Amino acid sequence: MKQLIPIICVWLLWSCEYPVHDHFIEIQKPAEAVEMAVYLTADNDGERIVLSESSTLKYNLSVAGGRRIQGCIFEMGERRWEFPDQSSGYIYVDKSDFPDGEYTLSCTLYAATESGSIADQLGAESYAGSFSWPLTVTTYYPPAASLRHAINADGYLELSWDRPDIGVLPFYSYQVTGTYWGVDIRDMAQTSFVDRSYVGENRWYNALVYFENKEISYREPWSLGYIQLNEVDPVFEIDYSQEDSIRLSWDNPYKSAVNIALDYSPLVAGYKEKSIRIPYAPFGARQKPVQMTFIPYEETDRTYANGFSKWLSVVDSHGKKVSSSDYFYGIMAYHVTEDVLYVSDHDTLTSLVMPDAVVYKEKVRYNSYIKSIYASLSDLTVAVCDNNLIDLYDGKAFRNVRTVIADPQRYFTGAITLTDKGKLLCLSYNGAAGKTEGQVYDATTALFEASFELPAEIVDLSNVFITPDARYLYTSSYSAIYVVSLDEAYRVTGTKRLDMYSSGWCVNPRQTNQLFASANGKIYQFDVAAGLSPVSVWDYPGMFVANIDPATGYLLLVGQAYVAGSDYVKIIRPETNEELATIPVSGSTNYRLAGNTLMSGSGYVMNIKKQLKK
Amino acid sequence: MNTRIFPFCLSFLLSLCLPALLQAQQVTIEYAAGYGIYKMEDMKGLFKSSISSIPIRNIRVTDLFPGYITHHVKAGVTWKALHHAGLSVDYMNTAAHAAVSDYSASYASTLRMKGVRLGAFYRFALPHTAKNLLSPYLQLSTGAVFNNGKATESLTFTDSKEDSSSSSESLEGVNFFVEPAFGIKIRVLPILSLHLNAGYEFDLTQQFRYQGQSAIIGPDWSGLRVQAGVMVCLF
Repeated sequence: MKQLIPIICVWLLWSCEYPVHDHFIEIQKPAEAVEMAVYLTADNDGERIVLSESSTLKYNLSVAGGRRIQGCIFEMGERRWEFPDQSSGYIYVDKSDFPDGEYTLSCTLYAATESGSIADQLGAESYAGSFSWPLTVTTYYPPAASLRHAINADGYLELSWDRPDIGVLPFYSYQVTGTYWGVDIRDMAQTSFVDRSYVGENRWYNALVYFENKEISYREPWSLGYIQLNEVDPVFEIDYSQEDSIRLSWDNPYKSAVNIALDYSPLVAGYKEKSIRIPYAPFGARQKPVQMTFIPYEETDRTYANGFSKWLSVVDSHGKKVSSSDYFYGIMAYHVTEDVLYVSDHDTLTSLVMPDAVVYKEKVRYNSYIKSIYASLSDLTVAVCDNNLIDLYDGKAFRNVRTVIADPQRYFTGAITLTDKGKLLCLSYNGAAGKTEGQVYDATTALFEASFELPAEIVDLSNVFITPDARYLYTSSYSAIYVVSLDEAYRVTGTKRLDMYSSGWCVNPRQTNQLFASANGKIYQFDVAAGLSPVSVWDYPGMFVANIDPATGYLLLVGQAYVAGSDYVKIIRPETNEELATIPVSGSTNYRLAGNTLMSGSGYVMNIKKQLKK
Repeated sequence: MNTRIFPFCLSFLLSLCLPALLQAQQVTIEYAAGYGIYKMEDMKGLFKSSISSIPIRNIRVTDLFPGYITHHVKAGVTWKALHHAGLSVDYMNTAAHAAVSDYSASYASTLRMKGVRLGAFYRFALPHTAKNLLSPYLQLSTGAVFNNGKATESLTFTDSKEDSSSSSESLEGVNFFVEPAFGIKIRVLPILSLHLNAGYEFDLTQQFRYQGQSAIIGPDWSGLRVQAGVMVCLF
């Protein structure tokens, strides 16, 4: 019985619970290891990853056999990035989390074994691979500006800079920009650039180095420098030595062509030489403005270039300019005996020795502008008149000045003369009386001696000539020429009126009763002492009377201004009406003849003795 | 329903037995071991559907509530050589099991069903054979089956680095059964007999409760029962 008890117990224990059955299947175990790889795209120096700024690193995972990638875990320092079920992606590394220094970036890659086992089906069986890369966190500082400029051997602007130390940053290009323009340079070894479009104008340049944008981040470019180039001053030379033309030359430090405009009209364009000849203009032409526009030498370089312009003046009139201003009003006087020309230019009085018009003396008068100058036919005295006073000088050196001062409420009109008796006759406006009167002063002492009133019928006194013998005072209005006779006491003894719509008139200073006037294409000669009938009448269509040369007595006729084909003057021997010369001139100015020197209202003088018929 | 029927039946049987008890000639103790087959249709369906959702390939259902050994203990009284009644305690169990294992891990899902029957029985021996060596009889049992189900699931990795997991849930309930049977009593000694009988259990109700809530399914222990045992007459 006792032997039965354990048997019964075993029986009871065994039969109290149904024994279930197992189901085991044979599955081949996977290989111990498989090929795995992690491809990382990041800035590097060949040995280490280098981070100089917050960056996004690109990774690609690869497992042999195309096994399913279960994910990966990147770790660096205390940072951890997990990427489940991704075979590629991006890791953003914030540089602020990592001070400059050395680190190790590690990656653990998990891939399914694909053995089909239970653990594999549940993702509990995988291959694991570990990878690591040394990594340096550093900070790059852009270099100091080093942009330089120079003119190369070909005459072009050459910009250069120092090659920047960019470490492992991926170079993309240099970018050089200038006003309206820019260029990219993909070769890092090229640290210079020649700008063939630059010819010396105001322009700025800026050079930057750009880094490659690897689709993961944008990197700010570094500056290599900035320069501002100011406009250059080319050297100009004007050579008047040749009689047939003027030679204009220039020297621009930068190779360039030039567009030239003369008096606002194009002369040449894209001119590549360094000098040009400009023909002279007819006598008396005012200074012409010349615009020199410098442009790139080659046409292909002119796309975005504006170039720059310089202005200069060319005195392209024959003769010599005796006034520095273009707004010279032709206030000149010729002294026959001294062969000296006196010229006023606003407040400067100049004496020039003729025939070459060499400046003898300049005198600045700090008064109001000079209205008129009169050189005596009898002695060396020259009178210079402005509103308030008349200065009397002895000779071209302006010595021994005596001054006639206008009374209060008077001003001088500019009509003056020095008589053969050493007197100064002038007209002044009496503001108190409201009329113009004649006055007589002693030319030696400048003391007042007498005055005379003009006839009331004479209203217009803008163009007055008082003869040097003080016998006549000529003036004119729109429709008449008046001849006022004076006695020796400077009293008006009579007035003659010559009704004529004259275009010009003049009086022979040596023969003061001889009057020449022009009207309707004819020149009339009068002897006012004999009457007002013309002594001679000549046909000179389109011409008007200018003046009588006090030295030679020749009559100067000038063509009508702004009339085509009338840009010339004629010199006539009045006794015989012989034409001694016809000289082309520039219109729109007045002309005078004195001492065989032709003078223009634009400030030129030219000796024409050689051009006169013998 | 079953909570009202069971006490009524038990009371009815006991009322039948009471006169016998008053006239009892022997008190008997009986032990039998048997074999039972179980329907368990609902539980089979439940188990199969739970297995189909497991995301592991190659899982096989190795056991699906097969028949298994049963244990029976009866205590009763006999009278007039024809009647035998008393109380019985029976134990039966089965299980459903699905599993797969390989070199890397093993997975198993098991639903064990245990039932303890508590009831009464009445045997009526055929009159002209009651005192023979071999005495056939008819038997009727009824009572309650106290169900206990335990569902376990485990996943064990061979590599100890991986975390294994297991879970289990318990269910309980009470069925009401009736079991008619036919048997033969073999008188070995005056106080010792052998019994062989075969019957069929009918579970009139199936009930499970999960966390205090009634489940819509329950174990159906219905099926063939065969057993053989030893009866000892005490006095």
